[in-house]
Amino acid sequence: MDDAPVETRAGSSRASSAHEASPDDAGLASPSRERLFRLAYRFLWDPHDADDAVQDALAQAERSVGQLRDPRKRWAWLYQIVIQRCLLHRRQQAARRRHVPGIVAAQAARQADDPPAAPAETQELAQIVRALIAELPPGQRTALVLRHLENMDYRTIAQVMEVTESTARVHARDARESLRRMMLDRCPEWTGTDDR
Amino acid sequence: MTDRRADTLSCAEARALYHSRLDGLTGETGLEAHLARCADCRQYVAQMQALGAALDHLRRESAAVTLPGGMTRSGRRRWALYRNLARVAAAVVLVAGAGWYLMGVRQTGDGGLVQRGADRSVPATSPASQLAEPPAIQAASLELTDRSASTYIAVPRDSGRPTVHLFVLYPVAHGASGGDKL
Repeated sequence: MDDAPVETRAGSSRASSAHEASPDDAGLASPSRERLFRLAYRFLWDPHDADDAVQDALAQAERSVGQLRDPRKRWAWLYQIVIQRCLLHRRQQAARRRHVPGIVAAQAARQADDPPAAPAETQELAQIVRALIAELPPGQRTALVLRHLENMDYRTIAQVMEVTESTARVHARDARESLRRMMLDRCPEWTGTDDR
Repeated sequence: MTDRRADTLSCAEARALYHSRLDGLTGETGLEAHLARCADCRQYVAQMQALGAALDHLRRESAAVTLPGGMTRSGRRRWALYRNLARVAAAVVLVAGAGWYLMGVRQTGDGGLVQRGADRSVPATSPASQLAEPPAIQAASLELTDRSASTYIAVPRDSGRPTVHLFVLYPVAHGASGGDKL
């Protein structure tokens, strides 16, 4: 597995070293291809889709390297492109599903006939949460994935999202609240404790 | 036991403090006192903790995933291109073959088909009627390699159609008026 840092043209020509730490990019290490893949996977939950998204993002980064205003923020910029590709992929998937009314009708009928029981185990809940994350608005989804799945601190999240730290916190908090609300919409009996 | 007078927080304030604590922003702020009094907020915290555990589970699960091996996207695209080209080539060959075959056949006035250049048409009737009136062979010349057999399959050379006729052949003695059956 190739775990070498991804080298973009911005990274190779505008900075003396790919691993050079700068005050603006300090929160982000030079991302390996695998790390970008894992980030994409946490948005898409399909290894092939994630691989495609990373490849598209790297190609896009090469094409639009001229738009990088501050080379010291190149890794945040690269993360941003990967996330944008993932969100775009999700939107396209949702649009495709909307154009297949049979699938939507079958899902609605299944849900109406068989309302899901409250999940008893963390693993079971995790699979539901994974599906619910995809329904969050893009800002909340990005903040939640970066904070809770990528384990980034809010300063880094703010860099990647190009928002202030407090806005990043609000996005993450709103995402947790939204997840809880969606869980209760789906399973009104859910208490958060294993009391089955 | 909890001192009820110490709880001065509303549920909204308590929940905001809980999130701040999750983000590592606040320490002891009276949240415990509120939770001891408020069953709704206790359930809220339990639900948030369950969500946190689920997110931890997803993080660990996704940390184990590796880059897929095999063909990359560009490889898959190239392979799909070659596959489509092969399909188009096969379709062209089929159409060209069918056209070549049909170009050698023309339709007669009675609806029958005749090989272009041949002087006898094959009527568009049932195979049974064709058996009743077998087409005559004009000046056929066959060289038989096995004289013990009496029934042969002969395919007329001037026929482009996949029609096979059965013929019983009789030897003809040179200089004699008739022949004996084999």
